[in-house]
Amino acid sequence: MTDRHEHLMKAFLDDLGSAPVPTGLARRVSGRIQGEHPVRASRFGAWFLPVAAALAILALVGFAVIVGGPKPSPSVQPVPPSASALATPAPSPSSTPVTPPTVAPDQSVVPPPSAPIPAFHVTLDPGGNPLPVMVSDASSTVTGAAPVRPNLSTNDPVEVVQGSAPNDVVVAWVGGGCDQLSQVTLDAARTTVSVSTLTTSQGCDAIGIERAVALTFGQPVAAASIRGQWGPPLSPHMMALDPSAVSSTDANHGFVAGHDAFTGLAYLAETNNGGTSWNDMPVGWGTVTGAAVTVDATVRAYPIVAISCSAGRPYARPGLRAGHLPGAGADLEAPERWGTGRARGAGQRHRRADRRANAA
Amino acid sequence: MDAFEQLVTDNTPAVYRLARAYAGDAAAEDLAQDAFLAAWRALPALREPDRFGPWLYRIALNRCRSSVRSNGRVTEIAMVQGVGEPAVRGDFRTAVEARAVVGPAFRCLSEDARAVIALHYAAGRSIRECAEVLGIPEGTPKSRLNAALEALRTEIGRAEP
Repeated sequence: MTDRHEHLMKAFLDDLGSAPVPTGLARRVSGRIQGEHPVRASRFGAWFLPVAAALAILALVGFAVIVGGPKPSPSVQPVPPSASALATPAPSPSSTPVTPPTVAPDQSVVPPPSAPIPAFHVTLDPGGNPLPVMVSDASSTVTGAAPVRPNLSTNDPVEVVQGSAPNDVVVAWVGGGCDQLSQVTLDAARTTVSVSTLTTSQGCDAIGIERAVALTFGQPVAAASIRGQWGPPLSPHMMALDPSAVSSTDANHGFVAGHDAFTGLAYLAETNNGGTSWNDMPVGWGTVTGAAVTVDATVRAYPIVAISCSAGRPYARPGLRAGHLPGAGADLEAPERWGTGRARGAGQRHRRADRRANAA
Repeated sequence: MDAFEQLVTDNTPAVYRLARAYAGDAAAEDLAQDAFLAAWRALPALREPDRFGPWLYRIALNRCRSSVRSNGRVTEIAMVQGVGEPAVRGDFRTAVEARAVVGPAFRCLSEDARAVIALHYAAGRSIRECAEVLGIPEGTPKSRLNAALEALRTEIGRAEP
């Protein structure tokens, strides 16, 4: 047992107690319990009333001692939380009519897949400060996006002006040298365009850099009908695959899932050499909402990989149990391809390709 | 129902982590839900309401044991938990290594050893609470925990001399 092993063991034990709990798990549990209400209530009532009454009397006595006495008695102990919690639930069916069972909506089931939101990506490069920009069009009316020379004329944080053609609208804003990624989002009603940015604060000056992107629509659009605004800052998770979320299956093999905001795709990456290099594959549109790997320890194989996305169809290898991942199990699709790259570099590769396209 | 919901809210993280440690990530959520549902159904059998905690964790542990036995030794590992909730904080290499090296060794331990480690480290139960959950004398979990950690060291050393 080396120091390294001790260190790893401590990290492992720490991880056991700090693992994040799936969002909404308690709500889903409550939902399932609500569906069980009639069965449980009829059995619960047999003993509950006497216990509740006894606890209530104890609580009253305690309250009287605290309020009525000159000094609170040190021997009076608060009712244990679990006991007091159990003492407060709804009355038993003997005192109230049983309501029809109301099955709560199953939060673990994702909504039916919807069509991907059209997205375009461009790279703005004013003054040698390249910035990848992802344009998301919820209105499905944008037919293209292209970088243009910025020319801000107002003090609006996000300016929307008419472009050179009736079908073009220019969205411009002032960013900074630390910007890593921006997302321009047009809402479904085509009345608001939001600009969100992922910014780091590492070694760049504070001089504002004007950015502008031209949106081309399928028909003439009045820029005055669209209001520009700042959107919420982008999550670092959107930049590329997140190595901190790697799950390793043995010393060499591991998986990580992530969302690349630049391409708008969810990715699954696999390493066979302990994380030195990664093979990645796009598995669908949208933000990754969950992923799971099942390892058959007997044959040391990874027969099941699943990933669900906020938009698009969930992906899973054959053999996935439906319970493993919300929404998975129905309408599975195969990976498009396996590519080669590093997890962090998944987005960079696409950005390089796009820069080449822009240059051409 | 409101009171039980509160108990669910209070105990969900610990029950989930217990299931995750014992049975793996992919099965953890299902097992945690099943444990609460079983507790809800069996609530009339709970004669001492103030012992709800140990009773719940015993149910959860039994569910995990049944699941692992019925599924063989299949381990399931979840990855991305959602935006803003990194699965592992700190150094990436350490996290990967820890899971890669210690994870298989942990799964080689006996059921009792895994149970006491999962209860203490994953569910955050004290030694006394571990004794209540496992139904053993109060002094036993401490020695069992030490033995489990020693066994874990041995397994790690065996896998990586």
